[in-house]
Parts: sequence; C-alpha cells; structure tokens
Amino acid sequence: MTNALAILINAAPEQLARLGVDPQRSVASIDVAKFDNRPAWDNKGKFDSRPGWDKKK
Amino acid sequence: MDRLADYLAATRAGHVDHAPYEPIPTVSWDGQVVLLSPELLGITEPRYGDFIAGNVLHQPITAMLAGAGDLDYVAEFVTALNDCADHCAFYDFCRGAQAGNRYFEHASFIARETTYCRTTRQALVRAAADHLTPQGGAP
Repeated sequence: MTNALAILINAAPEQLARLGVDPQRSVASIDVAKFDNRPAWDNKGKFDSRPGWDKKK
Repeated sequence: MDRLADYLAATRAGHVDHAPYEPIPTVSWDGQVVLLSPELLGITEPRYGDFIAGNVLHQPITAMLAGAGDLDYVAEFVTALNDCADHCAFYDFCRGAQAGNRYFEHASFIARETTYCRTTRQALVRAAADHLTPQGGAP
C-alpha cells in the first residue's frame, strides 16, 4: 500500500474532516457488484444547463 | 473525492470486501455481448477481433461468463489485474480500473498503468494525502 494511501487511512478524524470526510460517515461494505465505477461526470443527475433566470419559472 | 471518502470510511471500519471484478456485460441492440468495457462494443481489430463474448439470443450471459477466460482480451485483462494487485501501491483503492482505458490508451489489456488511473486514482490519493501533510509531498 502506498504511503499516501496509508496516510489517509491512518489519519486522525479531524484531519479527514479537513478533506470533507465525515468521521462518522456511515458505510456499508464496499460491494463491487454495487460499486459505482463510472467516471464522476457520468454518475450525477442530469445536468441542468438552463440559465439561472430560467430555473425560477 | 466521494469515492475516496467511501473507501477510507469503509477501510477504517474494516468493511472492505475484496469481491470479484464486475465483468460489466454489455448487450447491443441485436443481442451481441462484450465484456469488461461498454466502449468495446462495435470495435473490431485484428488482434482481438470484435470482442464479442456471445449473443443473448442464443446463449445466457452466465454461459458467456463461464467461458470468458478463453477470450484473449479477457485473459490479458485478468493477467493485468493480477499484475496491478501484485505491484501497484494504489490497487487497494483503485481495484484495477479500467479495461477500456488500457485498450484505448495502449492497444493492449496487458498495460498495468494508464493515464486514467494516474489522473483519477493516483493523483487523487496523493493530493489528498498532501493536504494532510504539513509540508506536502506525500510519496
């Protein structure tokens, strides 16, 4: 395991919080069958490209 | 980052299961099936042929998966995955993604490292670790 990965795994909870990782984050086992391996741009909701003034309608 | 956060939370809680690799069977409009990467559907080249593992009109996907090891590209990918697991320090998080990038970047499934894994996995882990290291420069 790389040192960088080990640094993250062994980091103090308050350090992880600096990365936006909630120390109390609830997790289920990582199941490959359910693991969303799509690139980030493909696993979000449909992108709303309407300008702001059009969303208020 | 969400994916890394999930991995860290699961690992720290001892919840990471090392399950088999998802073969991602992709079915075309006429029933043809490719494995490992949807992007391989419709591609033909001399070394690997058409990447087709079978046709769902004639054979269940379970039977295709049972014989997948006979396909050169699947066999090469399995070899490469094992190579990643044996040699890559990021494998525990990365789990060997992705087959399509190996092929489209290197024209082979044997390649262990891709630009994709360097930029989406390795760089992410290093940058996050750097953020926790006072002077940065996590190895």
